[in-house]
Amino acid sequence: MKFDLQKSFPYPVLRPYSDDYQDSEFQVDVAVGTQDGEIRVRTTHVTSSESILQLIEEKAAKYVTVISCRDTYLRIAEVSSSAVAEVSISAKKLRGEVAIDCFVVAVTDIPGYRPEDLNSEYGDGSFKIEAGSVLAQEETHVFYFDRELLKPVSSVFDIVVQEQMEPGRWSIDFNADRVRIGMSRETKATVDLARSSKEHRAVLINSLYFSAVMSCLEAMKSSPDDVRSYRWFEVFDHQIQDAGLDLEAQETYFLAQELLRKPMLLLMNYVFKD
Amino acid sequence: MKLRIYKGRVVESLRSDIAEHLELYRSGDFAYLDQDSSCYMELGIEADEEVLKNLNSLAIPEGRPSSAEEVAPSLMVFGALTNVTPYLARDERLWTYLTHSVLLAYSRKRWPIPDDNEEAIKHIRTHFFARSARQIERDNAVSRLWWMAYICSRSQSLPIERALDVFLLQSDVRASIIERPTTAQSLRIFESLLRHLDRSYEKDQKWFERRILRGVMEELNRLGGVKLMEVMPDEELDAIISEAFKTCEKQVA
Repeated sequence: MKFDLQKSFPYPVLRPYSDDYQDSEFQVDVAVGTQDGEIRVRTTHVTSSESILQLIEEKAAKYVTVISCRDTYLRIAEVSSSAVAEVSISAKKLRGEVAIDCFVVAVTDIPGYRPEDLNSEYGDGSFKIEAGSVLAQEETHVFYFDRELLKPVSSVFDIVVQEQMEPGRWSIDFNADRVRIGMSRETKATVDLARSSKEHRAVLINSLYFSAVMSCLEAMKSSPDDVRSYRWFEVFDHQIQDAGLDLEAQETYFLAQELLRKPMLLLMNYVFKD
Repeated sequence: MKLRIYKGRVVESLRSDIAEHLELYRSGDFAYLDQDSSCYMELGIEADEEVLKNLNSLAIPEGRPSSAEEVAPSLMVFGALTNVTPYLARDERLWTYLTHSVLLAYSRKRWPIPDDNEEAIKHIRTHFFARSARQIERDNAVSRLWWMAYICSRSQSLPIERALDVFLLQSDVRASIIERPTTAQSLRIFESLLRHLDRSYEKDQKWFERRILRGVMEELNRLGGVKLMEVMPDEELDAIISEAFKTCEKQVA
């Protein structure tokens, strides 16, 4: 059931922008996070309607969170007496637009429903509510899910040949969906070969990729409007938020270490161990 | 075999070069793309190549096969691509790869390419590519089979073969359900509908009649507008759907 302000119900429903109730409100805080290939949705329902809270207390109504993804035919309804609900979904089952709809729904018939602060236009009568009827509804929350966003930031780099570049030197171009690291054909061949060994990869991550990540972060900090529309920005931004980092407040070198998951450890484990 | 997908640029180039490739679509193949590793990416996902190849030799009735005749190919595609996730199954690069490689023969046999070149270009764009949701679910020669089977595989009360028999008995059933995503998405409503249709399938198949089924779907839409049917107990949901079928049957009689 989509949130539709134009829709009229044969009984009062507590909804945003609706004047069925005088002062009561129903709001839901939705938090979406990712962990270990799972998408975690946490909804916190809050209502100031004493009547609705009473019905939940009496188990005549429940909080319902419906998570739906049209592209993958997924629809989950989490029914709970608790105001906080948490749902985990495999990232393999979501793609594109994901809608989160939150309700309070009657789970039994309620013969004489008469909330305390109804709009006076309803008069003095009461309502017969059937099980399944929506008593409160919040606006739909939508997020877009793309597993690309879960990939490490190093996945946004393409190493490309730049013929005029002198051996051993490299350049970086942010002006595309993927960040291009340009180097001479000879240097690229060496780097490509090095990537096949764990030890060499550890060195590359701590040199080439670490510097590239720092450059990207600098670009995001200094001229965000120039790079915001690119795909790599989304991946970085998502990873920064997901890791609880702060682009504005934290130093670039620290952010780069966090985003590359403390790359010095790779050197310690694979290169310096002997 | 390890499943492959074309790179995005290959899909775009194939799409823009359909006219130049008409002869390949009609009687040749695109093996050259499989021989150039820069054209595809190999995924770490196993697919049953034998089953896919068998699909190419599956007998397909002359003319347009009925929905019911798509049960076997749906089961074969889903069985061969059992490790494909719904996330991956929304990726055009996968289906374009399959219709241009291992399932090219099946695709052109099931969707014969018209003789007229202009018509052929439109036809290939529709059935050999999968750019939109509609193309993925309804038009692409292979993805449509996987998605029909996937939707039915979610049923816990009917085995997938039986669910597909019921789902594909009449094209109207498939269309009525797929065109109403909330019904197809909500597993409990979908299950209950399938169970009712299964009972009718055994009896007289009356509930598959277009006007009855459309009436039931309209009634579910109306109810779904004010009630959140997912929170109802199974028995109550079943009772509502039973009542809707019986009422619509009486109205049509």
